[in-house]
Amino acid sequence: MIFLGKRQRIAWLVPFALLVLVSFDMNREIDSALAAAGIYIDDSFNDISQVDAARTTAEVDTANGWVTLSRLNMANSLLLYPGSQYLTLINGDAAETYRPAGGRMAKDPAYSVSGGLTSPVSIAGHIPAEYLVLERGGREAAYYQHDGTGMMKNGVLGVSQLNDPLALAAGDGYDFWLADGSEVRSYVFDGRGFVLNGYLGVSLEVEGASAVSISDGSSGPVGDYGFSVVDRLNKRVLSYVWNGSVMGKCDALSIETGLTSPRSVSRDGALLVVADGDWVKAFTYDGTSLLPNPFLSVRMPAAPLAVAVKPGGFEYAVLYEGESGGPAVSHYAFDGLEMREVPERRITGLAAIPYDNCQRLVGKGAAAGRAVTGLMLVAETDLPPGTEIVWEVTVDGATWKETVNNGPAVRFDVAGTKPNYRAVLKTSDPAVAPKIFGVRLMDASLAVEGMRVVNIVGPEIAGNPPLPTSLPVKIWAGYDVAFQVETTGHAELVSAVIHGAGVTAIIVSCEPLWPVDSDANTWQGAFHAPVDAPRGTVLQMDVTAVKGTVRVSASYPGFAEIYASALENHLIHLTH
Amino acid sequence: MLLLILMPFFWLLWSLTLDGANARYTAARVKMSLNRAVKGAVAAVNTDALAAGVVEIDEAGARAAFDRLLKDNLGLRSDFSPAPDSPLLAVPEVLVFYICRGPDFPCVFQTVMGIRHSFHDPGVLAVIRARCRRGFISSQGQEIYAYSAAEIKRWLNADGW
Repeated sequence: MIFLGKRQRIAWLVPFALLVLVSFDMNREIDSALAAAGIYIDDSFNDISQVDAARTTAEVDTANGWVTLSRLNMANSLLLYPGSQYLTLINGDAAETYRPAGGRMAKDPAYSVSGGLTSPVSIAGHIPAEYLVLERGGREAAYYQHDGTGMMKNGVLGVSQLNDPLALAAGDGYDFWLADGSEVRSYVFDGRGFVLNGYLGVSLEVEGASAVSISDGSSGPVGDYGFSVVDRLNKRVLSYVWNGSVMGKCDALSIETGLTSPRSVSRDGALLVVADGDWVKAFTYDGTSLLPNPFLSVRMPAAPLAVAVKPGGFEYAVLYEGESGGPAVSHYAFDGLEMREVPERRITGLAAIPYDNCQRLVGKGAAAGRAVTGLMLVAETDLPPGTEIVWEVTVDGATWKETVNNGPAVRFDVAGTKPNYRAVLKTSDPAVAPKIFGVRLMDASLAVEGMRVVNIVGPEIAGNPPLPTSLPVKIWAGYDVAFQVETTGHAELVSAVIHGAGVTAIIVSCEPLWPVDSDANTWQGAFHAPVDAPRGTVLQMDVTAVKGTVRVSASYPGFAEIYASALENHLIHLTH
Repeated sequence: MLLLILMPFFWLLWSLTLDGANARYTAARVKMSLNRAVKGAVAAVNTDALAAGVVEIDEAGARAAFDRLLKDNLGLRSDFSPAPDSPLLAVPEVLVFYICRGPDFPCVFQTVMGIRHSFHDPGVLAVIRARCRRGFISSQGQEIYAYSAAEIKRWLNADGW
């Protein structure tokens, strides 16, 4: 290449440039071909290019090509206590506290809630005798305390009527952080109960379910009050601190690059630990920023689901899917060189993590490039007993209408140009989940087309092929002409206007051939070509279909020509 | 002298010749007028039926067209009385005005006057009796009967239609 002249070098690049252009054009043709066929979305979930990731809470498995309910987010389901070897975790519908006993971790019933919790996902506290449990199913954060015999729910303390509770983290004292939808809020104990601290709330400016994990940062090195949160959608960990007037993002304690699939965060002082991919990654604050700390990081045998740092020590517990298939918890401690698992503190035999419920799949939508008034959705699904998928479609992104998979088309009174779909995946059995293998969103707009002349008097006029004849048709002034049009989109009324130079407009009200309760229909009308229409007059037909307030028209300019007068078609002769 | 004797005779002969010619002319004019009237009546087709391609003679329209054309061609007033320039001496009498609609053809029409006519298409048959001027000599006029029939049918022209 270095021996080639400038022109030769450019010439050498031309074939590659053409190849790129051709590839680009081919993709565009495929898209336009689908659009022309009235298919706005055709997604088999091999990638997320057609999924609105910011609004989708269901799990899109691009490796297998399906969408299903994700397991409950357990990112904050482990709790280690300062100065203690107790560990509390969420196990099924229970909150169980374990302590070392006889070379293994044994459950301590006195500090456990044995069951009855409604989809618990998160736990926070400072001592085994007092902790908060976030019950996603009940949409509340319930306070449990030891009453001398066991853990009892405190009916006064707690926060209920949450919107989309995701994660919970305890603050320094009687306060906690709560990720609820796209917001992180602070609650403090005012002597009677937990009240919202309006000053410390943060809107994450991302859709819900991104904040899958939260960790208190009050004892951190920057600021005097704050928290860290995982933004799973954008693959980052953000830290917020109180700057004296508002809660603001702290770049020094945030990790915005280098994470592949962060799920859980736990923070203690200058140490911040993130469950990311197959790793538990540790970061330490060096006074200016967070730096990866390989000595405190561990590669797990399976993707970690939750991590909890023990306050005041280089130890953390990790929840992951164990080799036997069920969840397990391993405890890691720094031995002076690296993090090593403490085998006698491993906990196995935990209940399978149940599926979450009511998760959304939202399409990215399509630019139709034309007015859409009806849509039809066809999806390939797997619906085990107890599961359900509720589908909705829209044409403008604002008005959503429920539809049925492979059911009748959905009609909209106002046309739009942004067709899209969304689904809510539901299950009444936490052990099973519905699956969506593919979605196809098709056009079913009100349309009128296919006008054809089906009957003319004197069809033998020169130039007319056999009926139904193609256009333009040569007709006689004075004779009737019958025509048919096809409509889709459940047209309620169809009319036609025939006009031409020197011809008074003729309005024809068409009649349906079949009841108008069907989506597609054929309509028939007839008009009388004015007997005084001059020879050679070219006629145009404008057909209009109406459905509610939606009207669509199709024009057929020059569909017919007055060939002669019907009177000229007769011979009067004397017979006597 | 002989010429004076023969002059009245030749004059009479000449007058008779002129009268005969005039009578034939008047009769032909009545027939021609009747021909036009029945053609006009046949042309008065029902446009609604025609729109569907069916040739059907409209009864009221046919009679109106017949009367109008008869009056116009025979110089009659609106009450059918002869105008001064009319060849008729009295109101003509329409003895037969028959419209043949079909639908079965040929259709035979017969009158007590001995007229027998076959229709092969929709048509009109009319018979009138008229008293006409005879000529210069005869002041009594003559009574003539005229009979016409016309039919209408679709036809194909040179283009094939």
